[in-house]
Amino acid sequence: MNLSISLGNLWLKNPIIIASGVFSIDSAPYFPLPDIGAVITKTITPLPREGNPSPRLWETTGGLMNSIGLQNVGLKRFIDEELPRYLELSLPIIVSISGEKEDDFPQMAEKLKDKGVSGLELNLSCPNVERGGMHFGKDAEVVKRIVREVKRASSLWVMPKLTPQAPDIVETAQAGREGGADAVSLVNTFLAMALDIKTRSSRLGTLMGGLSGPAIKPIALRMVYEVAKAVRIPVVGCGGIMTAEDALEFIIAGASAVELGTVCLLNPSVPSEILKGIKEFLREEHIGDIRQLIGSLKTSNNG
Amino acid sequence: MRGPQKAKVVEKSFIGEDVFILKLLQPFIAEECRPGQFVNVRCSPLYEPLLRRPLSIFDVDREKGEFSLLIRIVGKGTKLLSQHKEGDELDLLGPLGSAFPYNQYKNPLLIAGGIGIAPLYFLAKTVDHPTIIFGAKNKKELYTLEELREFATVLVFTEDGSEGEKGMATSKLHRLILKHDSVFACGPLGMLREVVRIAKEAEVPSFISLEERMACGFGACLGCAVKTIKGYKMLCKDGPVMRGEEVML
Ligand SMILES: Cc1cc2nc3c(=O)[nH]c(=O)nc-3n(C[C@H](O)[C@H](O)[C@H](O)COP(=O)(O)OP(=O)(O)OC[C@H]3O[C@@H](n4cnc5c(N)ncnc54)[C@H](O)[C@@H]3O)c2cc1C
Ligand SMILES: Cc1cc2nc3c(=O)[nH]c(=O)nc-3n(C[C@H](O)[C@H](O)[C@H](O)COP(=O)(O)O)c2cc1C
Ligand code: FES
Repeated sequence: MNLSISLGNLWLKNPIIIASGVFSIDSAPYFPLPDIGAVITKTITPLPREGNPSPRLWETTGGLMNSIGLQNVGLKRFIDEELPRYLELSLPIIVSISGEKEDDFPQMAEKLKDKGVSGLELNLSCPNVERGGMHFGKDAEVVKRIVREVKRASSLWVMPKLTPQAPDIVETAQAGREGGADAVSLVNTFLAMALDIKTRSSRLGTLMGGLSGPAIKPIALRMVYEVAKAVRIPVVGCGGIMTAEDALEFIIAGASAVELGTVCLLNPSVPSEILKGIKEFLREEHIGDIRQLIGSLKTSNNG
Repeated sequence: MRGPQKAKVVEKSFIGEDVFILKLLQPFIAEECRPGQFVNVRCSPLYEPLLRRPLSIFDVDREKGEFSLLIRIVGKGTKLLSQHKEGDELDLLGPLGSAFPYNQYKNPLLIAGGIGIAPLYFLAKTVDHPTIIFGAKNKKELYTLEELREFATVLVFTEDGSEGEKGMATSKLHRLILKHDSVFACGPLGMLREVVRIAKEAEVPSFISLEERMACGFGACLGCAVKTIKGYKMLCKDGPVMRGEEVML
């Protein structure tokens, strides 16, 4: 049985990727590394960021809101102190990068180009920062420009991560492809609010946060389907995946691989469980190669 | 790999209207845990509620491979936990977080407020000749006081005077603290603020067990930030026991 997939010229032994923001190098011992296809780092920015005030988390029905605010040690310390430890995990490491200015992206790519990383995910979709982040990802022209400049600055594999806040996510995905992206990933969190009626204030330290988890899965799945149908580069699906069945739905809808986010926080062993479930499904369905399943959705009965 | 563990419920006993003790069989955690550490518990086999709930380790029996949690029902997660029966299996991560640095001090003063007794009970059982100030609203909320008295010197304060002295746990702290080289505390935020203030004045180091909303509990999500004089720290990894002088309460 073949579980390996290719995202352009990036080969993964299986389609399970750990999403940005739910893994840290010190938490690696909690994860079943041999069952993971690739790890995406927490988003790194040019300079260190201390993140947003607490509370940074709020649980909703079937969901999690967060307002972490891209807390990270900055590119220099990341390269000097964390990256060598990531590379020791013997897994493809995809570094998630973001910035406040468009120029930040190619400059970071330049500094990462010969450091042994397997590729870059461009976080054009974080809802928790005032400048950059999601604001880039809402504008297709900006997405195209950033991807193009990153591709110029380095020969690294590049995957923009799209925001569901974009007016037309298919258009931003197209723009990413036109800029030269090797793949696209979607979705990042949905901008959301929760209030405390007694204090009449936000439940989070910030007014809004990003919603993730099972609550967003049906919308994320629809978006992945639309993008995969329209755009001719590999799509990595993300949003509310909890089980093997969820992961398989994304693959059937057109995703070549999936990212696991929130679920890893609840159960870091979940990559093994999902991998096992996928294998069982392929066996039962007599499918020898997971690639046969990608985009295999039947729509003939749906008009 | 340090992933989730299964634990068997050995006993569940209510010790108040909304407070119960859950005794669990889990030899790895029982062996490894230190006072102040916590476990992150899945409240139902479904993902509802979505997140695990952090709970301090309250007591340990290493020989039997058992440990206990002291839990107050405040919402749906703790309510679900209270419905478990003997023989049920729980899924938990742990032991997590930092411990009280009890072996670095000779003569610590322990202070607990209400349900904050949970980690301090384990600590009191661990140190030699413990002295503990135990404060609560009333007699009913002095959970496990009788058991505690069997192995610790307990100074009791209640707000309504229904047991011990009338007053707050911190009412006499400025005098009591003078005989000690450190303070270890857990309780409501107001109490912890007072503990830190008084300890600073007396120039005695204080260590307090704090609470913050958590998701992972193992340092991955950066969700449980607490502000300290050295910037944000993660309560689940750098805490829950933090140096009183460092946190900005
Ligand atoms: C390190 C740590 C150790 C803890 N140890 C214990 C313990 O030993 N015994 C015990 O009874 N409780 C302990 N708690 C608190 C416990 O985690 C919460 O009471 C529990 O998560 C509430 O879950 P719930 O689903 O029942 O309530 P929810 O339905 O989530 O919430 C009900 C109410 O409780 C409040 N609440 C929820 N979570 C917390 C929290 N983490 N801190 C403060 N308020 C909260 C909510 O704001 C709400 O008002 C600890 C918390 C931490 C962070
Ligand atoms: C606590 C937390 C932190 C996150 N941090 C980042 C981040 O730094 N960069 C990023 O691109 N996405 C981040 N995300 C978004 C996830 O990678 C993912 O896109 C989103 O949560 C939806 O997937 P899920 O429902 O599986 O969690 C974060 C999500 C959570 C819950
Ligand atoms: S709860 Fe996730 S880092 Fe502390």
